[in-house]
Amino acid sequence: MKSALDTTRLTQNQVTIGISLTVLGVGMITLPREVFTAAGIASGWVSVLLTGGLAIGVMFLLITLNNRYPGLSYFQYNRLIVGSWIGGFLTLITTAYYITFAAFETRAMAELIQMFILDRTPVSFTMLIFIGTTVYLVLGGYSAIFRLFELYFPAIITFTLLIMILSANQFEINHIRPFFEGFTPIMKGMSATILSFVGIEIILFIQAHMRNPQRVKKAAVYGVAIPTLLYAIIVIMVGGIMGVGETMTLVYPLMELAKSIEIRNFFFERFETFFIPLWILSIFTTLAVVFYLAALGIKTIFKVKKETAVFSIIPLIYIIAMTPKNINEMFTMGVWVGYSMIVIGIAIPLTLLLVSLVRGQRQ
Amino acid sequence: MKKFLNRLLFQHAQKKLEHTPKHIETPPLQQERLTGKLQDDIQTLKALLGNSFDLKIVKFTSDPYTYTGAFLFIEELTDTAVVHEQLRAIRSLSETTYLSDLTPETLRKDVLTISESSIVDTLHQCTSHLLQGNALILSNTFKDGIILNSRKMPQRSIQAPSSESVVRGPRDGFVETLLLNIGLVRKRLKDPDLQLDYFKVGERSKTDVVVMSINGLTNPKIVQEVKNRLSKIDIDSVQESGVIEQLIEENSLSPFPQVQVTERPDTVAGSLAEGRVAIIVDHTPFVLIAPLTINSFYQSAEDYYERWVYSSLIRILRIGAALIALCLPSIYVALISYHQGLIPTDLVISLAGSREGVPFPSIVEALLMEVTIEILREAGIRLPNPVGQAVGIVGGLVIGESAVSAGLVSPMMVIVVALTAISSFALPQYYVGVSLRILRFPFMISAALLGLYGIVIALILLSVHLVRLKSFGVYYLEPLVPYSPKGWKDMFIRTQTKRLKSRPDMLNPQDEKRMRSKN
Amino acid sequence: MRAICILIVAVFVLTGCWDHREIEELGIITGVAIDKPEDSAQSHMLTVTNQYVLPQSISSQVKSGTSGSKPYVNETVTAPSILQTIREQSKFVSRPPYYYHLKTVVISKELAETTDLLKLTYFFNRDHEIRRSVQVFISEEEAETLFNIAPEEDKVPSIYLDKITHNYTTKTAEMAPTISLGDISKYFSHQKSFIIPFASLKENAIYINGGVIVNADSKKVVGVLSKDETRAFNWINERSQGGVIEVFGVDEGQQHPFTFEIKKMSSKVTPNYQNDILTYDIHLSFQGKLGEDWSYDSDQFNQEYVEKQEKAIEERIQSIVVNSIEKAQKEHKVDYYELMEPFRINYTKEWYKIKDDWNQFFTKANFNVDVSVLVEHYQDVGRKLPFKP
Repeated sequence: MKSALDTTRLTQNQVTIGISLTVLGVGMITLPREVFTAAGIASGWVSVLLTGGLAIGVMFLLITLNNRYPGLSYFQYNRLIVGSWIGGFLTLITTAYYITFAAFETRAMAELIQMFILDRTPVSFTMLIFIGTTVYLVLGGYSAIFRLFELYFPAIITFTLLIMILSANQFEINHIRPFFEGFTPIMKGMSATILSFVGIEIILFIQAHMRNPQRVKKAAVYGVAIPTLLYAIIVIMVGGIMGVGETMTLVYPLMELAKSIEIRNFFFERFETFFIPLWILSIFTTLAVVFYLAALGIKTIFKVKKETAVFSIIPLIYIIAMTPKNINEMFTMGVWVGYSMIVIGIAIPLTLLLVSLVRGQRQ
Repeated sequence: MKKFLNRLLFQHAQKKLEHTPKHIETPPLQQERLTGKLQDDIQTLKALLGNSFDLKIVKFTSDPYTYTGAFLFIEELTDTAVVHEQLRAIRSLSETTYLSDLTPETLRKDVLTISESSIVDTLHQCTSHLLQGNALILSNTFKDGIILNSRKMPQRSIQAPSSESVVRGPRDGFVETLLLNIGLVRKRLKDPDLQLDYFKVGERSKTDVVVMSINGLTNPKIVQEVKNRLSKIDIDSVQESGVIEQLIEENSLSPFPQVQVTERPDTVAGSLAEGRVAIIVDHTPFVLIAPLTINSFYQSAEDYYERWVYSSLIRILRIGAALIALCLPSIYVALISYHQGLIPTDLVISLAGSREGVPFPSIVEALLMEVTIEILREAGIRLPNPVGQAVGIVGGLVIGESAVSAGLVSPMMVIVVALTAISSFALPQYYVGVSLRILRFPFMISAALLGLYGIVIALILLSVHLVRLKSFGVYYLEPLVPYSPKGWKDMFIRTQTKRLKSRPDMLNPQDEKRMRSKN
Repeated sequence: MRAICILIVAVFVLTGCWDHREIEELGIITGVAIDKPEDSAQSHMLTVTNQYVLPQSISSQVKSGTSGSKPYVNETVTAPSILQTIREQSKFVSRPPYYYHLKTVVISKELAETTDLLKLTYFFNRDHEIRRSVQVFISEEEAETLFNIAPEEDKVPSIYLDKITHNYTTKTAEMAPTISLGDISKYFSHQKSFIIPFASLKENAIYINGGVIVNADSKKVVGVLSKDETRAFNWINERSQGGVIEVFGVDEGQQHPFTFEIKKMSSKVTPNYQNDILTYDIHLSFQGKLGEDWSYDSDQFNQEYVEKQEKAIEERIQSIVVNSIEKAQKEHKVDYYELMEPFRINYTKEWYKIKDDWNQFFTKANFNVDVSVLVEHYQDVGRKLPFKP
C-alpha cells in the first residue's frame, strides 16, 4: 500500500548516520592495534584525525562527481560517462567488491562470536542467521535501512562511550605521553587507518535518494567526523589504558578494554555484556548497507527483480565468508577489502570525474 | 417469488462488484418501486424479509372501508409506543377527515406527531429501514411509503471503562450505542469542523460505522486512506470493531496492533485533536483510532492530566516494564545457561546453589512457568470475578511455592516469571501487553539456542520489523525515527503542557499549531 | 516456502544448543596456585592447584547458619604446562572447569625465582575466559597452603585473598599495591620492572606484607622488599594515601617516640639529564595529623614544637626513601619504581638509545630527595598535662 505521507527519501540526519555507521564496523575493534603497530608510538591517534580529514576531502570529490548527474546513482551514471560496456564492467567489479566486503564483515562477526560467547556453535550457523536477519532488512529497501540506522545510532554511540567512561579510571596519561614525536610515525599510522574508513564511498549511491541533495556536503562532513572522533577516542583510551606495547599484542584491543572493566557489587559486574551487542550492531549496520549495494549491483547488471537479486547473493556471501581458513587469512581479507575500496570506491570514481570533466558532460 | 429470489442473488453478486461507500446502495435492479397496491406491497415485503413471524403488520381502515392503511415494523427492533402513538393520531384524525384525501406529504407533515419521518418509494429502501427498526406506513391511496423513525435503542448506562481505568480523568466510557458514543465525543469537541463520515459495513449485518476526523486539521490523505480501506471491506457480518481492525490493518502477520483501541471518549477526543482518525462501530464500546505509532504502547490519556514530571517518570517506568516483560526471562535463560561469567561471583555461587537439584535446563523451567502463568491468567479472566481472584491466589502462591519446594523450579525462576507477568500488566493498553507476551516466547527460545547472541539477533529482527511496519502510511516508529525533535517532546517524557505547542508532525496535520500565541 | 523455513528452523532448534551449559553443572574455579613439584625428577613440570567452590554447600550453610564442611575443594595436578594440567583434571573432576570467576593466582616464590613469569602467566592472558583483573600474589611458602586457610567470615580462601587487597592504599602503606594479570602483561610489554604483593602465612592467617621485585629483563623474581622499601615505593609512586610513620622523638636521646598519621601525600619526580648524568629530583609532601606522642614535653599549642616534630618526621621519611633507593641501585639493581617513565617522556630521544639497558643506567643515577611535612592538627588534646612535671 502506498504511503500516505512521502517519507521514503533520506533526510540529512539519515545520510550522516548512514555514513557513520557504515564506516564504523570491524575497524572499530582492531583499529588501535593496527594504528600502534604501524606508528609504533602513542601519537597514532593523530593519524586517525588526519585520515578523517583526508576522507572528508575524498568525499567532496565524490560529491562533485555526483552533482554532475543529479538524481542518478553511480551504477546509473557510470555508463553515461564511459559507455555501457565499461560502465557495466565497473558495476560488476563494484558489486564483486561489495559481496566480498559483506562476506568479510559476516566472517569477522562470526569469528568474534565464536571466540567470546559461543565456542562450540558452528560458525556457519551463526553466519547464516546473521545473513538471514540482514536479508529481512534489505528487502525493506534503502529507506528501511537508514531508518533502522537512526534507531541504532544512539545505542551504538552510547555503548561505545559507556565503555570509555567506565574504563576511564584505569587511564594513565603517561602511557600516551610524549604527545608528539615527529611526523614520520604519524604518516605511518595513517596508512593503517585508511582501511578503517572503508565505506565512505556509499555517498556515490545514496546522494541520489536524498530529500535535499544540496545539504549533502554538510551530511558528509558530519558523517565522517563522527566515526573519526569515535576512532580517535577509542585509540586514545586503549592507548592510555593498555599502553602502546600491550595493545600491539592484543587481537581485539577494544574487546580487552571492555573485559577489563569491572564494577564490583553491581548487577552486571562485567561489561562485555554491553560490548557484544555493540559489536553485533555495528557490524550489522555495515553489512546491511553493503548487502543492499551488492544486491543493487546485481539488479542493475542482470535486470532482475529485487528479491531475486537479494536471494542470489546469499550463497555467494556465504561461500566467500567461509573461504579464509584461519583468523590471519580473515585479517588479510580485510586488508584486501580496504585496498579494493581505495581502487574501486575512490580511484575509479575520481577517474570518472576526470573523464566527465574532460568531456564536459553534465546532466 | 422465484423472480425475487433471483433478483436477490443477482443483486448480491452485483454489490460485490461495485461496493460504494454511499449511504444507501441503489444498484439498478433494486429500483423496483412500491406498486401502491397495499396487499401486493405487503406480500412482496414479507417475501423479501423471508416471511418472518416478527414482521408485524397493523392495518387500519377508515372512510367506511374504502381506505386501508398499514403499519409495518419488526417488533423487537421497534419502539412500539411510537407506533401506537402515531396510530392513535391517525385514528383520531379519521373521525373528522377523509383519509383518502391525504397525500403522503400532508400525512407526514400535518398528522404524524413524530419529528423524524421520510418518504420512500423503492422496496429496497423499505426493507433496509424495516431492518433498522423503523416503521413503515403504506396505504392504498398513495404509492409511496412513509418511514417513521421509531428505532428502539436498547442501551447500557454509561459506566467507567473497565479495560482502561485511570486515577485521574473522566469516568465515562463508551457504550454499545453508536449515536451515544458519537455524542460522548462531540460533547468534548464542540467543533463545527468535526466531520463524520458514515459507512455501512457487512453484507448482512449492515453495521453502522462512522469515521470521525477534523476538517482542516487531520491530514486528508490519512482520512482518505481510512475511508478507502473501509469501503474495500467485503465481509458478511461485523460484530465488533476488532473485525474491522483486522480487515483494515497493513500487516496482519505482525504481532503488533496497527490500530489503537480505546473505551475512553477523552482518548478519542484527544487523538482527534492530535490529527488522528477515529472509527466508531455500532454495538461495541471499543473505538478504533488510526494511525497507531509505537508511542501509544506506553502512553495513557492520564499522562496529560497529571503533572509533567510525574507523567514523564511514569512513562519511563512503563518502558522499563515493557522491556522487562519482553526480555527478562530470555536474559535470565541466557545468563544461566550460557554466560555465567557475566554474573557477579557471589550471585553465581548462590544461583548455582539454588538450582542444585533442579532436573530441567533453565529453558524448560522457564517455559513451564511461563505457560503456567498464562494458563492462570486465562483462567482468571474467564471465571466470575471473586472466583477468578481465588484462582489467581491459589495458582500464584500455591503452585509457585510447591514447585520450588518440590525442586521442580528454582526460586529465582519464580521471581523472574512473576516480575515478568506483573510488568506485562503494567502497560496502560491491554493489547500491547498481549503482543509483548507473545514475543517473549521466541525470545526465550532464541536465548536458549544462542545465548546473548540469540537475544541480540531477536532484538534486531524485532527492530527491523518495527522499522518496516507502517500504520496508515505513518511509520510505526515515528517520531522516534526518522528523527523529529518536535515529536520527542512528547515521547519518552512529556514536557510541560505549555511547551507542547504543536501537534505531532508525523501525522502531517494541516493545522500544526496547538497554541496560537507566541509564548 | 514458509513450511520449508519452519522446517529448517525446527531442525536447528532441535539439534542446537551447542554451547548450552547449566550454571549448576559448572566447576567454578576461583583460585589457581602454581608450585614447583616436590619430586625433583619432575623439575621441568608445574604443580597446579585449582580451587573449586561448592555452591550448594555455601548456600545451605547460609540458610541453616551452621558451618559444616568446607565449601571448596582443591584439586592438584602436575603436568608440563598449565593447559595440560587443566585437561588432566577433566579426567577425575566431573564438572567442566570454568575460569570466568577466577579471582586469584598465587605463585610460589620458589617457582617465581626460577621460571620466566611472562611465560608462566601467558596462558592466563591468552585464554578469553580469564579476565585481566585477576589478582596475582607471590607466596613465601608453597602456594597451595594458602588455599587451605579461610577465616570464618570468608569461607573460600581464594575469594578471601582477593578481598584483603581491598584494604590496600587507605589503611596501610606497607602492603605492595595489588597487581592483576593484565598489569603484569602490560609491565612486560613495556619492559618495566614491577613488584607483586608478597603473601605469607602467620599463625593460620594470610598476611600480605611488602612485595617481591620482578626484573623486566630476566622476568623472574629477584628480591623481596622490606617494609620500608615498600613504603618508599608507595610514596614515590603516589600509590598510597594512608598509613603511619613512627618517629623516635625530637629530644636528644630520641627516647620519646611519636606517630604521624598520613592523610594525604603527593610526589613529584623530575628527571634531569645533563652530560650523560641522570639526576632525579624527588619531592614528597605529606599532610596529616599527630596520632600518638610519648613525650611529656610535647606541647602542640606551641608552633615551634610542632615545627620541630615536622622536621623530625621529614628526616625519618627521607632516610627511609634514600635508603630504599640506594638498596634498589646497589643490591637489587632494578628500577622497580618505574622511574623510567618521567625520563622517557622528558628525554624521548635519549630514551630510545638506552632503552635496553635501563636497569644498568638506573643504578648510576643520582637522587635528590626532598620531603616536606605538614602537621595539620593534633586531634582533641594538645598537651599531656596543663603544667610541666
